[in-house]
Amino acid sequence: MGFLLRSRRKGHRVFLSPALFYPVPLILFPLLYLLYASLQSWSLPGTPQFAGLSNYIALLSANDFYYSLFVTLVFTAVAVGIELVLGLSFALLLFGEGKVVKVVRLVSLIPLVWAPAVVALDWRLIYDTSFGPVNFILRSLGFGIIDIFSTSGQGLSQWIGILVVDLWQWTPFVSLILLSGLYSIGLDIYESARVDGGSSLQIFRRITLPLLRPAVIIALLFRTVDALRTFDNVFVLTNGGPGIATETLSMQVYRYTFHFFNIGYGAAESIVFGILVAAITGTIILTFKETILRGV
Amino acid sequence: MLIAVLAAWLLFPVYWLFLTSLKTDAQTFVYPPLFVFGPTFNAWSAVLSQSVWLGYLSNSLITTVAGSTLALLIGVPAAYALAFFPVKRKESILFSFLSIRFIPPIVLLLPYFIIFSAIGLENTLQGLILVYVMIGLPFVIWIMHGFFVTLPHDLLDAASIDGASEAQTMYKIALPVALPSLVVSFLISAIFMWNEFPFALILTGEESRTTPPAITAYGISYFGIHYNLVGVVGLLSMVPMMLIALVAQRYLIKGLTMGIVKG
Repeated sequence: MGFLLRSRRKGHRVFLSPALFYPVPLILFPLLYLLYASLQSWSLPGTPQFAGLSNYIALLSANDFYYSLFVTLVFTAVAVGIELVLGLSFALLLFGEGKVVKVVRLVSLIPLVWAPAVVALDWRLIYDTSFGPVNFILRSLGFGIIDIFSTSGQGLSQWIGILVVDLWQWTPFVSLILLSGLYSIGLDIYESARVDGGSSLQIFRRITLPLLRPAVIIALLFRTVDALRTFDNVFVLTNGGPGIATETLSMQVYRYTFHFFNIGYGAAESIVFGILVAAITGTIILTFKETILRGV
Repeated sequence: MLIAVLAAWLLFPVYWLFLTSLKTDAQTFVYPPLFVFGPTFNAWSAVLSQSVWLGYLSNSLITTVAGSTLALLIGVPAAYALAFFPVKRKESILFSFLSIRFIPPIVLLLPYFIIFSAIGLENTLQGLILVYVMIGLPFVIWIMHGFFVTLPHDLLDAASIDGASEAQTMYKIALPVALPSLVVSFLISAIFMWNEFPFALILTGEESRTTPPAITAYGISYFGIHYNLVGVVGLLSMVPMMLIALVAQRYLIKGLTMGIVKG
């Protein structure tokens, strides 16, 4: 107890203050500045003119905003959903102690540590319409090709292309989290279930899945937030195209800010986007606070 | 042999990049695409002798090492304080740092771009490092906090009974034991900084460019693109990360989830 009593003195201020002060100029101030900018009518080069809520009004009546919102949410739901299911399958495949399994587990780390932008670039080569293996195989099998560079169309094949890259990159992340969860369940539970005469399917549904809940929640949290923010993949693969068919919200903010240099509008959209992500993330975090603090 | 399919699926993009890096320019523009051919190392020697690529790689190295180090210097004492001192609103502070991890980069990009340009920090490594420290802090704080709370208090009590100050207790007692977690925090932050794209894309110019935006800028250009060079640089930039993955494999998932998943 002596340690705790002594430390009520200045110790914790000095220890904590750098970490507490650092975000002020780097997070708080920029966010406030963003708020300020969103209330201006401001395009570069040019100076800000106060414009009240007009950027927000324009944003909330913009078709491309709602389209982007829609595709971002749908993409997130689809990608995370598939990744959870696939990730679970991979985790079950990789749950074991054999040498092969261990090697493949190591291999599955590759997509995690590789820069997402470079992964996307690699897949761009693979998707190349003329010289890439994917389209070569698709053509040989008689299917249509996936044209990442196309300037026409609804964007469906481009979305599939983006989705596949996202799956390649992040399913291992999910499966490794679920694998940790599987290991933490403990073998004795499986033992007793078998002794009590449970079939594999029963064990899986009644014991494994419920006990995996914390791991699934963690995977859901991280993947949902990251999918909502998708930028690197889309930027490198399709640049939002064809047209704006694959423009996620991050990409749209980028376009208005760094393409049209409409700072005011871009700021407003950034804020709305930020609030959306905060709301979704906050809901997940608050609902599962104990799980997150306790860990898997 | 589902596992074999899985492994093939995971390795194919790496394999393709590797194959491409060994092709001559002519061989990259062949249809059907070549899987079997005589390898040449032109692309490799071209990249390794071009100082511009080495410059990008060294910028990445500088920003990553500096960023991670600073993140540790700021974050470790904070994690220590949160673990052992009676801090008010401890949970809120921890969750605030968690939420920093979740901010969409694009939201901060606009203000950073304008502010950095105004104070002359754009196209500088220092500016990028400042941003990267912010990226690394949540990881350092959460991972180290997760470790520190597992330390028994008697260990630290013994030190203070012997008259050590808080700082001495931290340096002499807690940190040596914490070495694996320190290394993991450093490496995980490093991975995120090395691979970072949006901030590097916007906040750097030719002099301070790091590898990811440099590779993609080159790889997306439509004129005179050498796919084999893209292959080489793509693989080169991955090598340090693969080394980290090998070294820290048991702790990787723990690090990537900020210590929430203990592996």
